[in-house]
Amino acid sequence: MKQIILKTEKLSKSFSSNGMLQHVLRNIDLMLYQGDFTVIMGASGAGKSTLLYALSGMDTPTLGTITFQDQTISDYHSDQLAIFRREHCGFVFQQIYLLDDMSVMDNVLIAGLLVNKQKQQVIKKAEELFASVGISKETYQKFPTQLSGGEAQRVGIVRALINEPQILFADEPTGALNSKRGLDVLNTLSECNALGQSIVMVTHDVRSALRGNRILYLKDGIILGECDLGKFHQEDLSRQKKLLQFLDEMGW
Amino acid sequence: MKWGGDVKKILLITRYHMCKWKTQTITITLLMIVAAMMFHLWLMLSMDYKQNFERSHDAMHAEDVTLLASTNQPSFLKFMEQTMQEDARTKEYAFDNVLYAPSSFSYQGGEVAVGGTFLIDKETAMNRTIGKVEIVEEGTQTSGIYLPMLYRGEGGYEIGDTFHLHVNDQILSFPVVGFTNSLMSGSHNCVMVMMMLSKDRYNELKDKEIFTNSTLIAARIHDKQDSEDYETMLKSALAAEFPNVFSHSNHYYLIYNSRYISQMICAAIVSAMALFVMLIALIVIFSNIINHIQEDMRNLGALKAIGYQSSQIIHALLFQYTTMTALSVLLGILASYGLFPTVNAMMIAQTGIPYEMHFLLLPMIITLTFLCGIVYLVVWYSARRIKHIDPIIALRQGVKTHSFQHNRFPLTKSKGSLSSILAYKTICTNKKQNVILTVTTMIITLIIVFCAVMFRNFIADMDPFVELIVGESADSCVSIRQAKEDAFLKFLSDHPHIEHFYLYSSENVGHVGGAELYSTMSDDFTMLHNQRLVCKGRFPKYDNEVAVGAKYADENHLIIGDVISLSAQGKQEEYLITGLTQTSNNLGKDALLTRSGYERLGKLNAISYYINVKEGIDIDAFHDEVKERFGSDILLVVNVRNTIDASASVYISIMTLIVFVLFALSLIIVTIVLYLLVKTMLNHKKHEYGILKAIGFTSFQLMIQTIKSFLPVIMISTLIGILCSAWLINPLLSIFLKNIGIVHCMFIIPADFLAIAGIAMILYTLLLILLLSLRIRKIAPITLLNKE
Repeated sequence: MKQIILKTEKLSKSFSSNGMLQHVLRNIDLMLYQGDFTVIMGASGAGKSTLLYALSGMDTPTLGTITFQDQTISDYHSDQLAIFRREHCGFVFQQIYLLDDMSVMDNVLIAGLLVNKQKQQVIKKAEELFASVGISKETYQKFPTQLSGGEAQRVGIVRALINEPQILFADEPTGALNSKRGLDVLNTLSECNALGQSIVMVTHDVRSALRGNRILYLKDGIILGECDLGKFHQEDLSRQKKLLQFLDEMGW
Repeated sequence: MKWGGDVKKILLITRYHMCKWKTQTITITLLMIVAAMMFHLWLMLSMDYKQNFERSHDAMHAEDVTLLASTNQPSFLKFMEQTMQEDARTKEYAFDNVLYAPSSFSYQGGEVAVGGTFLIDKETAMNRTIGKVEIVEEGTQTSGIYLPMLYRGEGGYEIGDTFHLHVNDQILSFPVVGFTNSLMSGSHNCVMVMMMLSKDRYNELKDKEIFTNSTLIAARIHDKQDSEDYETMLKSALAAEFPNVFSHSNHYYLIYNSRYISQMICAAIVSAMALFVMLIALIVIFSNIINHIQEDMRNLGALKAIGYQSSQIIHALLFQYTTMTALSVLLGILASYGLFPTVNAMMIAQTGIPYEMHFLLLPMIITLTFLCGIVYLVVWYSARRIKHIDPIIALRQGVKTHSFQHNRFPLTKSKGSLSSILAYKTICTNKKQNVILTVTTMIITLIIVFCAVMFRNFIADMDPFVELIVGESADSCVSIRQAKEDAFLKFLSDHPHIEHFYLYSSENVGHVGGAELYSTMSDDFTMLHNQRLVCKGRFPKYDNEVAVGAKYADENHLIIGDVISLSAQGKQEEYLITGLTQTSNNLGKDALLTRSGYERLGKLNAISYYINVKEGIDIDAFHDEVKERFGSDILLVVNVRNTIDASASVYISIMTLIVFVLFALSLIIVTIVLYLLVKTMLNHKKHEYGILKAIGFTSFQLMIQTIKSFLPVIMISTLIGILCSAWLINPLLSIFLKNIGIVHCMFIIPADFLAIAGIAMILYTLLLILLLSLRIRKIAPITLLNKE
């Protein structure tokens, strides 16, 4: 039996634009499980990123509840959400969002030292993570603008993992990268998941989605369907077939 | 067509800039309004206000030199007429009969003693050909006294009041029937004060012994520049021929300067303030344009890409800022006209010369041209880098530039909390912010130190100011006939209420080849309360020694160790200069001599003693006792404390207003500059704060981090600013006060007050930053992510 780490009930999100109310998410009931690599797919404007940011406490829902380990985080105010994010979540963004004025190492430590005051422990952890994603020591003191897109995104992943989050949220992590760099990033994510890291990833890229074991398809603010692909294996071609069939059913 | 098209494009860009940078536009406008207001006020005060004296002088056909002599003997009149006729500098002259007696009267709640008080009958005064008297206000009553307009209103008198004139031990009372304007004798700052009496009251007093039938000599000369020398010539001739005749005199430049001391001080302060505010406004404009170029790099690239030329973008900025400045300057000028009546009323309380406010074209043109011109230059200088923006690079990279030189305060090595290290990093990357903050803080601390010094030395305790301007103060001054001096000294020695006393008599002494020096004699200068009267060298000790005014010495190339010849009562002797003094008496033309030193030239005309009574003793009661004991042998008693308080009240009110205005302006400027800096910083860091919030930083942490990023710069610049300002304030004030004879200011620096002011300023700025950084709460990470 899988353990639930995050749960939503009747989650809704609306935006007001020019006096018109736009319902982006509608009454979503969802459960996320420990160790899963959940992928949220859907067409542009389906509400994928909105759902991701609502789940991660980056944004607050209009209606409904989000429960994380018995805590209703949808009732939190912004500073409580910030503390929730730092302690339990990691983020990988499409635009990477490293701080340009800081070195690679500082970009990671700034997140790590926020939770753990033991600087040496954090540095050691960062070095281990850098090594695991293939970032060499020479890169530590470089600035983000001196890195390739792939390197920068891997630094982003290290930053997301430095506090050993319960869930890693990734929003189109390969969206701004070329094919080769994107593959490196996906491999890194898969390796993390293989080690037990729960991941929720938004993507509209089939190749990226294949990394997940659970695919949710979002359309017009509701979860239209769900597909269980099972554990990721590089050579398992049946997963791709299954996914494509699922997407076809969803109207992809 | 092309011209029209260019203008349209420039207007479009300008509108875009102004809409996007609304806060900065408002801030710069406010700063420019304040700068223009003060700049224009300064020009009005320095270009027209003082010139009002010249205009009044011409309009009233006033004297260039006035001499009041205690005789009206025909031989004296004949001699003086002959002396003036023989001098080629003389243009015209006139003699009038007046009644003279050193006297005192109530002013501003105190008692002011004027050695050169004289009474003139109305008919004579109104028919004067030189030195016309103007009646500025007159009641219905015809019998009484007309006072100089300085004493009207806040000076203490209104028409119908009773005016008491204290002459020797008598009090003469007159109803006040009007107020006059007499340029050369209309204030106790003019050496002599003219009081006009109705014919009947004048005739009543004419034959009374307490007054001396005297002569008022009014002379106009061909060149006003010679007025001081001409006065010296007249006094020397008089002293040589009639050594027993007592006289008071003044000349054009003495009055020109002494009646406008407060105007000069006020103009100097306003000018300094105007320059400070302008400097801050220019720094803000410079920084604003640099920020605009950095933050709007992509848009600038886009404008260039669609065909806008660099010159059009630069012209749009020039147009925007110069138009904004021009409008602000016009508003500032308008505000200065709004403020002027208050300033004018204060000035008149000190000058006693009416000034009618009128529109002044030249100060307006100068203010407009200067401020617009300097803003134009600053904008052009800071915007010219737009020429180097490549549209493709700007579109691709925007503002993502970095020197990659240093990773200051790396988190791996730096000690301290995370927020502190991040704040230090911000300090290192925000060099422009630090420069603006440092310059602003330094200027503000200088103003605060000035306010503190003025508060301590003027408002809270007047003594340091009095010591600087007047030289020496005591509780009482008593003048006694020489024959009774020994008895008087014994009386003082035996009196249980007297703390200490010393000779402090003044006479005019001529410096041969130089000017008339207002000389003070004492038996022992170590008895003086103000031992800082001599600012260089030492007091005279022996009969062949003299200390002269530092300003006078400087102007006449005299140094300590020089030997000069002094003359009085027809005799001339040589004296060694042992020290330099500073007071504003006689605008720096002062000297100190020992009594024995003066007696080498002749006998002292008046023996005056400065007396300090014990704590809690009523000075007036002591005076009554002295008068009762010595009767008519007492020539003059002055409650010095009251006189100082009376004269000081005008200065105190002016200084209080100046300190208040400066303090309020400082607060406004600090608030505006910090608002701008914090807002710019938050705009600049919005993206970074969004990322930090996304990874788990709370708003509170970021607010603390923001405060910490300002704290070291504010603390260090406040500390350095206060120390430097405290060190510089006296030399700076000496520069401003040099004209009135103060070459070495020694105002007390209130260290405790400054420490409190420094801490208060730091706390105020931090509170302000805290309030301004509350905007961080509105930065939502989701907004950042949605916008990308």
